[in-house]
Amino acid sequence: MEILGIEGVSFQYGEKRVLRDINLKVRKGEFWGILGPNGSGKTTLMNLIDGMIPPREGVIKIGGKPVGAIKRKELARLIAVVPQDASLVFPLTVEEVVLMGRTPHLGRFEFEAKNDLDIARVAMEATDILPLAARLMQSLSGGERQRVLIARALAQQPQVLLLDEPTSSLDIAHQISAFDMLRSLVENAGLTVLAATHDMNLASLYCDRIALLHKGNFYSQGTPEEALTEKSIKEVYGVNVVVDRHPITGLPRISLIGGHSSRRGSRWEAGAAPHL
Amino acid sequence: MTLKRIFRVSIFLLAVLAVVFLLALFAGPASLDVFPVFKGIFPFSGAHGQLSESARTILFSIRIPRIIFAGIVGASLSCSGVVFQGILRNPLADPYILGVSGGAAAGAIIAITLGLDSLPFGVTAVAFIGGISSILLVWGLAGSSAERRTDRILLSGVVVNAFFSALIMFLVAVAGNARVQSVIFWLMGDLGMAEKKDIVLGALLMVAGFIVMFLHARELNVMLTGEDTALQLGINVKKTRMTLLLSASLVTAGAVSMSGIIGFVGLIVPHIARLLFGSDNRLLLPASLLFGAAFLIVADAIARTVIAPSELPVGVITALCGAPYFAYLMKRSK
Repeated sequence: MEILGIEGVSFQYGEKRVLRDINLKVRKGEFWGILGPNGSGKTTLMNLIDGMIPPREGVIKIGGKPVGAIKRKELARLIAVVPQDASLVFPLTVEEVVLMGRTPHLGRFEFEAKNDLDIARVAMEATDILPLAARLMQSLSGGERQRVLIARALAQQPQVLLLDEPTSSLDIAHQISAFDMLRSLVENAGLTVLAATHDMNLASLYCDRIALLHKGNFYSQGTPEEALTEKSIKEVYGVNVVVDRHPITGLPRISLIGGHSSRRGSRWEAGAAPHL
Repeated sequence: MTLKRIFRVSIFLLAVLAVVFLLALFAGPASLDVFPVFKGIFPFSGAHGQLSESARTILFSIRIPRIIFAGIVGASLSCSGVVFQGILRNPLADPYILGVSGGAAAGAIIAITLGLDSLPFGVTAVAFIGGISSILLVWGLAGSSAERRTDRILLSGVVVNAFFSALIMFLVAVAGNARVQSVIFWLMGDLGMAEKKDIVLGALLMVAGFIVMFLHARELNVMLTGEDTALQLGINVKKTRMTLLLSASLVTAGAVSMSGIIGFVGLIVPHIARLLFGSDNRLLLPASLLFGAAFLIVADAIARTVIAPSELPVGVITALCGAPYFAYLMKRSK
């Protein structure tokens, strides 16, 4: 079942064309990685999907309905967005922040009921932050805060989860645990996930599909094998890489070669580098 | 957050407010005896003693109205402070620092100069226009959401305040000598000029504004974490922000047009309440309302007694405690 459809979407800021004639079909329960260089339009695409900005041309449909025709509150029950970090001016506890995810499900005169507290608890369990529930957000590490924001998004009980570079501030251990968690939500809860990321190897390991943005259009989309090739990465990023098989998973592995000042030069001269 | 917790905290703070109210009855140049006062307030309490005619006048025509008035002004400024801090996402915001009080005072003086004080709500209405223009100016000057940093908001407040202070001084100079003295006293925050109709109007504005604020408290909670996030959680951010800014400006204008500029109440009270009860605005708003009332009643009791038999404007007391507290908060927030 197609949950998200992007049909012929273009967008420009003033004269600057950011996205042109984008097409994408996302089926329920898929994990998509949106890749592309800085300025290729990843964040704009995310903002278009969650209705923060309207497209100039084309239409974006969630569950068959155009995003622009869905009320903000209803949209918040369909799509949840995980930002890169939270604004932390005032002291808020982890539980308070996660419960905010229930906002689109509550009326003006309503307080969070037991049902909402239960949903928040399940979300905190899924993201492994239940022991932190009473802690203040300010006292957490970057990785823990990221989990809280994902828990808040889960408490929204959305169909689609959008993440804008969810692992950019995390060390590798936390990167892996964040992607593990997203993968299990896709497998176990039938969630559809779109994550904008810079990490091609993580995307290759965890995503079902990858869309590679290049100057406002998709250069390639498909399985990691299809989308991430030496040719596509050279074209899109202007960088030479080696794409081979991951020795354990068999999935595409992307290795950087490095620029002209990298240490490979001296190795080559010493005759130690493998043939390229 | 549950209604039960809000009720529990409110009842506790109401008890504090009641104690403060009773103690403040005895603050002032004339000394009143304890038992007759109790007999006067609670006629069937069985307390001994009888209030003299003059004591009765002092109690019922001067002290009690003034305490109620101080409570209303303190409550108004405090819940406005909660809203301004939340909307601007800045713990250093307060109706005084943002220039809302200054704008409202300028509006009130314009209304008096034009003779609009003979109309029923003339002064408050023009004060409201002054207050809301200040906050919109600060909002505009502080720039778009990404760059709306603490320093820019505070600087915008400085600019707006400077402009309205100059306007006030100009108007005071033009108004002529006879009224200058009273206006200057009023500008420092003076609770001594309360009239019955002021108290009623102030109470109505405070209650109406508070209800609107409280009904938007959950939205304001989400807006604390950023406007984009609030939008993504299904909140109509523009409408909520406008509604809250209008109600906070109206409540501030109500307080200022009755009592002049009383600074820092809207800064200190929400801050202490947040330390005690957390940042959830559904609890913070009623807590600040009640605590703010008690705070200003105490400040006014001090202002009435510290240089007795003459009095200080209560704004002097709040600024003397508030300015150092502000400096401390600013230092710590870096």
